[in-house]
Amino acid sequence: MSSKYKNEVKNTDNRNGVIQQNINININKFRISIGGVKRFIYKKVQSKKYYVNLENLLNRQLVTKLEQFKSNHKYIPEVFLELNDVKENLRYLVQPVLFYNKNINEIDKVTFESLNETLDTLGLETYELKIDKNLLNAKTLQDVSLNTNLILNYFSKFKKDLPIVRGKREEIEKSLSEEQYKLFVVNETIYDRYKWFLDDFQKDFELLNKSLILLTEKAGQGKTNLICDFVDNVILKKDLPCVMFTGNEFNNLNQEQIEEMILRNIYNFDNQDITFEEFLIDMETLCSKKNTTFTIIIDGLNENSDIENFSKKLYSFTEKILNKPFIRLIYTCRSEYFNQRFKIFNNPTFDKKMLTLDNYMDMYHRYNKKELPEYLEKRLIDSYFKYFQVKNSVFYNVQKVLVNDFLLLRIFCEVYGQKTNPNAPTVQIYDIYKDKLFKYYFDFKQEQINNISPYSVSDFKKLFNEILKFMVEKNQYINIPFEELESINKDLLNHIVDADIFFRKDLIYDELNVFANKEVLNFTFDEFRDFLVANYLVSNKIDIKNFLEAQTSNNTVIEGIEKYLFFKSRQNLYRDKLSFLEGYVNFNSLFIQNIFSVDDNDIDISDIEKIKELFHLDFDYAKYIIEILMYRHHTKEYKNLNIFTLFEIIISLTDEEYDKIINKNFKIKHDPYGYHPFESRKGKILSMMKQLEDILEKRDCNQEYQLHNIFEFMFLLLGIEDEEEYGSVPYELVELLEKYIDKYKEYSKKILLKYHDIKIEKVRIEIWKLFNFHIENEIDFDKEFCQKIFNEYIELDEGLLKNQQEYFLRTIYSNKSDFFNKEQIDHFELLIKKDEEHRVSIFKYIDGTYKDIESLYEDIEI
Amino acid sequence: MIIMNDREEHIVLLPCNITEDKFLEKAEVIKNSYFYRQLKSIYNVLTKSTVDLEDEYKKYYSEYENFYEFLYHKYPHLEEKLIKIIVNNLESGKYKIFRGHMHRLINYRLMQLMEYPEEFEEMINKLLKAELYEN
Repeated sequence: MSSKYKNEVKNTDNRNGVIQQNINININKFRISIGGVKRFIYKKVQSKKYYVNLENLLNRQLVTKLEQFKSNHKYIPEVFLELNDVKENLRYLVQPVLFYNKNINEIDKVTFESLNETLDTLGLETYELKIDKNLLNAKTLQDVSLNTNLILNYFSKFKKDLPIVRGKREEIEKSLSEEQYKLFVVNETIYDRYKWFLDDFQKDFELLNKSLILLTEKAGQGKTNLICDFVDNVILKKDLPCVMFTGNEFNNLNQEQIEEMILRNIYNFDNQDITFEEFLIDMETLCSKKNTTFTIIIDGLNENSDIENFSKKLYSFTEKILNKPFIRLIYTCRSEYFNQRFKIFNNPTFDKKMLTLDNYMDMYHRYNKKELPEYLEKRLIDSYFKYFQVKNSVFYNVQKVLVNDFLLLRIFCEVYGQKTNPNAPTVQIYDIYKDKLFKYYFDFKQEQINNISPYSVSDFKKLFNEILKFMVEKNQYINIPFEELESINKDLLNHIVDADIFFRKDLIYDELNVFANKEVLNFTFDEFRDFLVANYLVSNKIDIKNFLEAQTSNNTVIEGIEKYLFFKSRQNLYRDKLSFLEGYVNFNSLFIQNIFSVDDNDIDISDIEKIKELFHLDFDYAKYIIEILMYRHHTKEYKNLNIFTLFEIIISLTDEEYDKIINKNFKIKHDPYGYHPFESRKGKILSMMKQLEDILEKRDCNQEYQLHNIFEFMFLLLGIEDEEEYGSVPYELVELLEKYIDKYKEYSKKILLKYHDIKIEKVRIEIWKLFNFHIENEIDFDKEFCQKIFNEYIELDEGLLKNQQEYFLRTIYSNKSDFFNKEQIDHFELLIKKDEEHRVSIFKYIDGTYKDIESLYEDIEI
Repeated sequence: MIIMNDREEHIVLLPCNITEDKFLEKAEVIKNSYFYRQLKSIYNVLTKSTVDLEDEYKKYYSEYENFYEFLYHKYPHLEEKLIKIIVNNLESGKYKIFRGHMHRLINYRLMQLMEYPEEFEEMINKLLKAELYEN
């Protein structure tokens, strides 16, 4: 190979041209020889320094690349979680000597005690792995290669020798006693388990003989983040020789130029005195000195602009370079592109040296197929916030939404993070208003483009406008063909595709060409597209009503656009323009699904009235309204649409409505046949009450005064039933509120007074029971209130409520008789007399004398 | 203390002074009974078929600044507070930490005998307290 950093002269027929070419070649040779001699002398005379310098160059290349990835946020340090074995596989690939020793030492320590005990009892031969001492240590790459082959052969033989028992029950039964056979049956699977155990070790050993790992995954799954984390936290920290590139750095290059590009990048584009072969000789020496490998990483093969050509050139490069035993390669590619455009890698000559990890991130954000546990979710969010410098106080419900949607999290962090947005809003984030968030994001990105020469805000706006115009006019929102976007600035589009998360390129089947697929443009985040389309519709002279009515009913994209039109329709600027939406058949569901995501400042009284109307219209609507509003106790933040609306709704309910909606939703159900015999009571209120117990114990509602609102809501749930207790109020709820009354006398008194005449009878009775609990400790009601209650009480029919009010009034009377007039006093005295007579008549039956009865009564009370 | 116990592998904090005889003695089961033999087998997978995790960190994962960082990143499903407990116990000098394959090497039948894996772990954990083996 003679690729030097010198432009080659094209072949030409004219005589002068040939002469010129010869001259250039001679000059080139001369230059090389000077440079080569200098380098040769440097290497010989100052060998140590030469290789230290080489290592520094590699290090600089990696650090520079990582900085680039960090600057466009493709790499976010500290967010990678090692939940599967991909990173470990990469470790094995780049440090085979080290990890051979790890693996061999681990397997050497394993004993098969349990297996052997069973085999021994069955009278069968026992087994232990006996690793040859010579294989217990590898010092060089060659050792790893030789030893691994020997180990793998030994494993195969060992597994073959393990007793094969599956399907041989009858045969084995004949040779065993009855007791032995029983033991054999219960342990039938044990033999397979040992085989599988060895299979896993075998896979690890096989990996040590690989030279190329190819990682393929769908877009946005974190391929780059994984690679950068590996480089940042393994390669650099362990000082391993490595260089990394992205697919688009090899745009329009041939194979030799792949090598040239690698050199240019390492030598910072200024060294012209080394060939790739010479570089590899140096790397071999360096690797030999360090007893390690040299890794070349190419992230995002699909990002190359000329994939057809690149895949072929890359294949040749790979095939050639893998002949060097010290070389390791790591490639990543979007799976759909890999399957379509890198088919040549499907059955390569270097197949034995390659490991393909297809869709390897399936488990990335999961652990044992379960959702991430809460502490890992928190760790992820904290890492994002720390990196982007999000200093806002972000409410738990917002964090929950973000952790389940990484694109949204990324947008959120870029908007609220001071690292990316020096003018980031500093408010508390108690809800995600996507409409507002996307607007911030778009405006902020628009501002950013100003700093990137040679683009301007108007270029940016024009580009988006053209794409949105195409979408709306052609009614096509996905797979936009590039040839349809002729008038846009392609360089800017490519810049945005590379540096941001607005768009991604996709491959689709091309109906016109059965042998090829064509590349199209899509928005990465569908919701963001819907937001922009809605924005485009309201900002341009488009008859939106006609536009929507022209859509087919099964167009799912329109649902998204309608959602963002709905958000616009709540803003004063567009309320009138979009009021026609309210006439649509699906308006109720559009309203209820989205009203709680409207910025609270845009909510007006008609929205609240509509919520109240829908609450009564449908149980599912009511259930949803309760679910949302009961958590909007932060009335300072939710000034308009909050838990107070729910209070207003509940107190307006009839007994029947309360039973049908509130009781049905919150009551404790009895499930005696459930899985856990001691947990036969089911209902969401049980966990709510546990949380509130905790709040009551650990937090101060007077400091966090909005917590009082949740307890107020619990007072309104006093009419729900506990099926296990034959329909009485759940005892935990009563106990919780009694504790609350004890702790917060003033505030609880306000709540009791507020609901003393609530028209839902069940709730009212329980409220009055709590009045009586309250006055056991403190009699602090005024005369006017007592008079009012007396008048109500007199009018009531006999019943539980009258009893409770009577108890209340008599307690007040016994302490503050001056609150009552003569007629009322007579009433109380008469009641006292009647009670006394009743008591006497009961206890007289038990004992003869008045005095004894009195003492007996006291005993009973105790 | 068995710290992590899933199908793939387990991590255990073992008292430095533990021996097979002492472990079986503390278990108070009839010598040579079926259960005695199973406990012996458990002791073996906890001690013999394992690797010292601190050694493993030092030899193979030197990219991490300390053992805490190693556990935090390499075993992300361990909660931070648990990692602190582990590190404190190791610093006390009374324990060592091991990684192994208990589930895959132990007699599966024994696991089934215990109705819940937590119950099984709890029972074993009682036998893995350093103070039992201090004298």
